[in-house]
Amino acid sequence: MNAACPDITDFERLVSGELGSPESTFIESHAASCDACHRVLEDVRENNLFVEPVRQVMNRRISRPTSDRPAPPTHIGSYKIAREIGRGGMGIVYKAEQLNPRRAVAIKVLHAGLGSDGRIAKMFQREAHALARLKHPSIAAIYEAGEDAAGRAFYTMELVDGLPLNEYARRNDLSVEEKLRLFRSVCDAIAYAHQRGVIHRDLKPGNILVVVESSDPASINSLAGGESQSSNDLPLSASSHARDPSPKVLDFGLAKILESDGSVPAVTSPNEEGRIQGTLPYMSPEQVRGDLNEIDTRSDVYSLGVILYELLTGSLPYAIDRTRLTESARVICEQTPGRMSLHDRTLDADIETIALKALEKEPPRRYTGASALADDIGRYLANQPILARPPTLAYQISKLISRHKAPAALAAVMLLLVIGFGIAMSILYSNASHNLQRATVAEKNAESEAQRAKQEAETAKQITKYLVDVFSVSDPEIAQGATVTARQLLDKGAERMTQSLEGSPAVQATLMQTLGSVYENLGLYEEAKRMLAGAYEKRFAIDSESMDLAETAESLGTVLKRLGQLDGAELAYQKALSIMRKRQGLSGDIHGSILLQRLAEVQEEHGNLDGAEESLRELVEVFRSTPQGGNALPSILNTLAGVLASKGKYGDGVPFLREAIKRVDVNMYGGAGTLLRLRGNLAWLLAQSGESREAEELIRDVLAERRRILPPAHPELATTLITFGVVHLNKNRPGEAEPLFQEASQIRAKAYGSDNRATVEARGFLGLSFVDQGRLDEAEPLLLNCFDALKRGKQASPHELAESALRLEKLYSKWGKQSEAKKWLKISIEMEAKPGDTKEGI
Amino acid sequence: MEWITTSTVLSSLRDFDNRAAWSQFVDRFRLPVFRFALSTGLGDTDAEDVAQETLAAFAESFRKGQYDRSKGRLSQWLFGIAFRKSQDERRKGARRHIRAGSSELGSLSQIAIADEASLSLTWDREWEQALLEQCLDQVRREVEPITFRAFELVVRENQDANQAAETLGVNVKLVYNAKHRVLKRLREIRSEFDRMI
Repeated sequence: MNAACPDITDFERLVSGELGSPESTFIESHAASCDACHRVLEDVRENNLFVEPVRQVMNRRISRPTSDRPAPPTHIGSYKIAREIGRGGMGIVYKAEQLNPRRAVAIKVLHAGLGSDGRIAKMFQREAHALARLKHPSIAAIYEAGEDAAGRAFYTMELVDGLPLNEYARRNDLSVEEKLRLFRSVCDAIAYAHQRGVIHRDLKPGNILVVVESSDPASINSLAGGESQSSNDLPLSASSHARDPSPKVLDFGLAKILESDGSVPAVTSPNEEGRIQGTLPYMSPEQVRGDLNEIDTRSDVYSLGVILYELLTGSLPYAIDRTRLTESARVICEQTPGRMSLHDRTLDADIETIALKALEKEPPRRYTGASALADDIGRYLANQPILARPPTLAYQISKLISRHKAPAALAAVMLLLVIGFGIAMSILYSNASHNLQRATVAEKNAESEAQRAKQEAETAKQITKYLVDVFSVSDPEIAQGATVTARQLLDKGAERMTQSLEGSPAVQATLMQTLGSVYENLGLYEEAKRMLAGAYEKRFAIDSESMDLAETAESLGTVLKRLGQLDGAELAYQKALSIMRKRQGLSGDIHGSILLQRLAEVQEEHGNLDGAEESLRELVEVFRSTPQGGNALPSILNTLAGVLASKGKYGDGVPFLREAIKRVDVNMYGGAGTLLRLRGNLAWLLAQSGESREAEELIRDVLAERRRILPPAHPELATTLITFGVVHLNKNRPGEAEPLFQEASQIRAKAYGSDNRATVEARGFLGLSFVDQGRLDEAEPLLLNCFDALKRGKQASPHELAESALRLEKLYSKWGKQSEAKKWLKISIEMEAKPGDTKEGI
Repeated sequence: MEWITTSTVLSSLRDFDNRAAWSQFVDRFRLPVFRFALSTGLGDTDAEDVAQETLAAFAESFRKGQYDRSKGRLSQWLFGIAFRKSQDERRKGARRHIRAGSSELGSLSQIAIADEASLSLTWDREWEQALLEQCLDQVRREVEPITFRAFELVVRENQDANQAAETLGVNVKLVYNAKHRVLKRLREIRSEFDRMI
């Protein structure tokens, strides 16, 4: 084609019949003689035949109305609207001018259907206040929230000139390192907000704009937030790349308002296909499931994981069909992300490990917050070892099997299993070789590290060979049979292993450990116990003090705990801990302290309060000496005080709670609630140990605060009511205590059922308030019923039972029924003296 | 992301350990099978099972060299398997209901098991739709957002080119170019499906 040739506009107009006859004749005759133009014209014709089917597909897929848009308003509140810059499911974003102070802002107006009763507008106003406190160079500032004349909620924020993160990276062809640096700044901004108790809840590339500090302010104004980016001025030249790019995160914390209002559920119902497109792929499993209570900082970590994955590979971690909501939700909740290295072979295994840790389905397996994620990225960039570890083999296999529970064609299952193992093995291999590389670099222990790495690689090889043997079709019964479940294959593998690996106990033990964990993850605790006990025996025979043995003992402890075999669980944990203590000491070791925490839980659950106290005291010491233990310390101190209270040692718990209150960081997410709980608990201990004056001041405060923030029938309110009631009792005001205990009993009966230990506790206090008021005939049936319920329930500690009996003793002495009183005193003493259960072997 | 031809996907499927090939294969063909299974009256979970089992069965026969293009297109092979699997699944479902004594049994039996001929039409529709959707996704990834947006305005929203140009604040030639490029690329990818399979 040359300058004289018609252009695409002419051809299109020709084909659509818009041109008059002289023009069309000219173009057609030109095309007949010019090959290039002839081809273009043919293409245009073919294209136009294709339009209708394509239109049908697009319309079926996205059924939201897009036409009939009204013209933008000229003013909203006191803002002068310049033009629309984006729109989406939740609202429309305009560029606007504010008169005082004079500045350009972005204004987002929610659709009329959202919170048209003005509630949302009010929530926005309240929330905007909190959000305005977020002052960070990488967070777009929120200025104001309000309501327009039509009652639609809007808010204004900093107008950001930038490109969505992915788009920026793509246009400027950023290197992996440049992408990571940018991503790390995003994490830092999110971490800053998390520390102030604000969760974003709707992170996605469109909510992260990259701004290039430019001398020319008139570049582009883009805003997104579920709102599709309007592309009016999109072309931001790649030449501005040389300047320092900095990310800006938009729409912080706003999703929460819409969720809590209920007008925008976390996941729209499946019949509203396409409505939440754009956001869904970045939502965490807990958000997709709509578990609003589960959403915390780790939900943002998940979204960051998706963003990181997409930033580095150009693809989402899973193929998500945005038109089918239920299906996509299932994928997000169940499917393992595709390997990043399949998209880009040059990506390092460590960076994949980091992304996958952020993308874990279960929040506890993710990074605890954006700062931990940022730190690992930082370590990676500085060539330091990262903290994230790839998922274990056992975890991967069990995931694989739990996805294929239904009987399926043998071929399919086998295929998936073998491929799955292949992947798991390749991870093991790469770990081993990775360690090997690290070992050569490491200055100290280089030799032993290298040796260990070699051993790991060797074990991995043997295991692979074994698995291939097990799962190849050598069994005629399976080969001919139509279906078999993955579970059957697993059982067969477990069975065969005991025979075929007799000669190599170390490999056998490793496999038993792995299969044991697989069974555990599948909820098959008896099978898990059998495998792990086998692994324990073998590892014990090899070396009774090895870290491998500690690993098995820990897994075994967890399985026994699940089976309710608390004695065994306690012993197993003790064994694991004793090895760890000898090997490396517990201080500074997060893993060791988690184990210690589990031990304390088992002991408490099991009624071994002395043991629990001892473990918790050790744990407190460990955490006091560990810098990163600081955050967990308040909760450990609280548990310790609780154990002491269960033993009746109320006064002993007081200093621990005071320390906890001092250490809790109210700026941390949930910190304010924790503080309130700790103060309530402290009031309780003070009341129980006779410090009524301080207790009363404290509890009055806490109750007022809780009544303010909690719904009327919230169980936590009952706890506070009881504490306050006890303070009244101690000050000899049973009449004032009674209504508080009544309310608490009702709340707890509704929340937990009438025979629950907590409900019975409230009723017991109510009975006591009757006794103190001399209403003995009302107190008697209530207190007798409490004692019975506690005994029946079998969950009460000896101290609780003794206390309950003691109330009956008090009742009958007051009544002058001395023999009854004596009987209950005796029961009380017996209960208190009851020794803990004897321990059994594992 | 590069578009990998379907024939590449299929031939890599022969490699037993190629997990990537399997997932590409599933990505490409799961949707039509899944939707087809839904249209036979199955629920989400059962339809998903049908999709997985159909693809696994096809992969298996493909590996054994049983897939013979001269005896029918991939689409027809998959339809044959998907049809059988769907009927199996429905029968299983009916048995489950009978065992469970479900009151829904009545409504279930009202959905008569459709004959193969009419389901074949459903299949063709779902197949075409799903392939086109994939083509659209791929092109969307390949072009600049503004190009795709311009295409959307003229094709999906039926705006004329001048109107679209005004909405986007660009000149009309850019709109025509966008429409042209996107449709041409769509046709290329779509015909690649037909050519190779």
